[in-house]
Amino acid sequence: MSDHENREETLFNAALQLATLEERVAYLKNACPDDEPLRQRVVALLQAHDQADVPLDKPAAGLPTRTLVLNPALIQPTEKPGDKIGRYKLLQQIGEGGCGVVYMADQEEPVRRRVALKVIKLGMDTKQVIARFEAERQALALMDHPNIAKVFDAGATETGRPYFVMELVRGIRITDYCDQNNLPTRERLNLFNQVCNAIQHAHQKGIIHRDIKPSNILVTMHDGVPVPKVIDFGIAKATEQRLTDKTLFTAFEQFMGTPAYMSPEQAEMSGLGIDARSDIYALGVLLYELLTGKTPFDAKELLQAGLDKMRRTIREKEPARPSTCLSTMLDADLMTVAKHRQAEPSKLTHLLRGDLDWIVMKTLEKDRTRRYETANGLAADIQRHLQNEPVVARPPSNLYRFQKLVRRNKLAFAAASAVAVALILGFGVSTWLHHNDPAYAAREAVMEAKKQLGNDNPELPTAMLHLVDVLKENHKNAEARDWTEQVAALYRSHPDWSAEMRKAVLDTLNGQLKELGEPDEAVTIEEERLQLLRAHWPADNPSLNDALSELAWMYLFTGKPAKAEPVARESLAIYERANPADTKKYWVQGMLGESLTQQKKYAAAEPLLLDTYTNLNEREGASPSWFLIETVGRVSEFYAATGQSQKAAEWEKRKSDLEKASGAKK
Amino acid sequence: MSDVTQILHAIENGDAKAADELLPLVYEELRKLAAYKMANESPDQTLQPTALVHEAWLRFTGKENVQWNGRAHFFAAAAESMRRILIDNARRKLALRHGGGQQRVDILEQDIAANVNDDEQLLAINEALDKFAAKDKQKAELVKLRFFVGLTIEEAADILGISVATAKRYWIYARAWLQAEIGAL
Repeated sequence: MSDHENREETLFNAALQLATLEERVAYLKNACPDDEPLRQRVVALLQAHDQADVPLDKPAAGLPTRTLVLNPALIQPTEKPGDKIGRYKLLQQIGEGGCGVVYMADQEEPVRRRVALKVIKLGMDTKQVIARFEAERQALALMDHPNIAKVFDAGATETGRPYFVMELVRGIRITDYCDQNNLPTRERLNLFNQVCNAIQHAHQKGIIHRDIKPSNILVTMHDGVPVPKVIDFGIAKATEQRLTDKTLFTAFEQFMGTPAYMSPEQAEMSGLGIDARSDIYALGVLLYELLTGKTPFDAKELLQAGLDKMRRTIREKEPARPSTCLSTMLDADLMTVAKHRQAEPSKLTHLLRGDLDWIVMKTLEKDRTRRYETANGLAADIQRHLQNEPVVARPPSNLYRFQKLVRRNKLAFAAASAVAVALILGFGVSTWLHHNDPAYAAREAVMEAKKQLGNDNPELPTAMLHLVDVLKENHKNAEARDWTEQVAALYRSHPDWSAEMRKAVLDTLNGQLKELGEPDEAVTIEEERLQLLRAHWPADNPSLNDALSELAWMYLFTGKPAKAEPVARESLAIYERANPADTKKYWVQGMLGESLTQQKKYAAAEPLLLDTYTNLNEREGASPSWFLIETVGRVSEFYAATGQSQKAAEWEKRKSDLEKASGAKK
Repeated sequence: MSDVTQILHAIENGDAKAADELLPLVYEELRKLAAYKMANESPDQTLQPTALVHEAWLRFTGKENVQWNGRAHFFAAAAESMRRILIDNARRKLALRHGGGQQRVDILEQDIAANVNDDEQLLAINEALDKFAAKDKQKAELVKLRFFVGLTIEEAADILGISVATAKRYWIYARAWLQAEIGAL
């Protein structure tokens, strides 16, 4: 310490003895008249001294217990080879995963054996973890299967972290094994079926794995034969934490490892309702990865999207079929994937298309009641595929897809039901508040209309269609379909209705039929509506063009591109003549393009589709329209159909970006 | 824990090099102890440095009789360790807060926001204390014991081997110096 500083301290201490600032300043002037900077410095110290509420007065706040998730340094494993944990001596670290570090260890008593010992990384409620493990210990002990690694023991380390002791498996993850050995698809399926058998065995003992993923399925060699072993049974359940919104994301990430294998019901994180079918879903993801080299959703993207979006994706987004996944891959990637499977790229895609697509998609159903009920069921279907027998998994029917599509694009279908509502207001309004049944008033109105003029009442079909509307709103689809068919029957039995009347009914009826998933019937109705319009309305009436484009769409949807083409052309011609600037013109043009693609009229299709895209894209506002997204999809399909997979992938990517953008705006 | 007692004995026997070996050991033990506590206490509690250091002291020495010299070295090492642990923790939290991954911040926001001022203040004090230690090591030790371990003036005086009156005088000067320094930062 220099003299100067010594002096500063002495002056400070002396001045402190004086009561007021004036006295202190006077003292300092007296004590060191020649050193202005020193005097100033001491005054500053005195002023600092007089401040109340100085942060130093309180000792530093301690460590909140929750900081452990923020501070890896505090939670690093402190065990090292040579240490003893309970009756196990650690030999070497053999793995490190999201939630723990695995050591090879020697057990000395009661039996001498070499085991794997997994120390859970994160501090958590050790007592509860061990209690949950104990609760399942009996069931775990009953598992005896060549493809399952046994779990022996659990306990707490000296630092209070839980550990698990398991059969030591010397192997590599199943996905790595398959790729390193360039296993063809058939052999991958055989290996996968053994995994299914192991999971089935566990399920029969009442044990759900909950964390099936490649790193938990290791392949070892037994006399030159690969044997998959499922490890970590019972651990996911024991270490399960209530993952609510409050749980820190970091903790979530560490616990869950890869979200790519998480089933929709696990993504809910309600802690409820996880059952064997969640394992089936994860098996589906594994199968997907074994077949295509990718998971249905990219793990990194899921994590980057944030918790809420991740959950929404897993719960709602339909993954691409395995064959689509391959056909939209970049050529170089596809080459690699194919090489690892000793296949030609195009043949590999072809191999997955059909059975394997449907088997995988069935396991990945969001609604678990639509998945395979058991792991055996899944294995059996794969076996059928391998033996060229028909598989149980089926492509979703046209009807099923149709309903999904209609639901998704309900706005585009908005039928003229406003008309129906306007008409209905004349009936029994007073009864609206009368009854709990939401359809009560509408049903009353139908009865009223019937009572007045019987089936000939021209307002009856309108009342009935309104009833259908109300029933659908209240999810009474069976009854709604019933009434819709009655309207259709009524319509057919009244050829004497005026053209206006028939048109009014048809306007609504076709929309209802579509929404209720009766596409073929809806096509018929749409054709009739078009006939009616041609017969009774002038050619320049706008309804005609609406009917044309509607019909073109219906034809495309029901797989009749050859019928769609002339209708779309007619509609397009009307637009060119009457309203060339209408955005809807490009909608029709896009449909024409699709119909050409499907008819393999490729030369004509490409310029048409690209022109559609360019024009729609120029007109886009802030949020991409459904028209544009659909158009981009059509371009992508065109390139996929013409075997230009790189371009197809680029457009597919553009489509999903647009979808994201439109979703973000909502 | 025997490592630590051995070193403490060596220090008592005049082995100067032994003191250097003490810090990493004490740091490691305190870190472990904190991790252990975190694993076993419910969330939303605060681990008080005073309690941690005292418990560590008892764990290290047990029934063994360690003389004053060893104890002073231990507490000096413990104060330095606590300082590192707390500062490290504050830095991490601030780093997370300032753009360490958007999603994390969203969820951690409430947890972190409450303490942001505390954390920044802690770092400011730490910086000022480094400067102060370069000028006056002993007074800085006193501050570390009081601020980072939460010892009383009397306890700190005992450990530093100075009278309580001297400790009080040192504290008043150090407090003013650091406050003036932080105010100027």
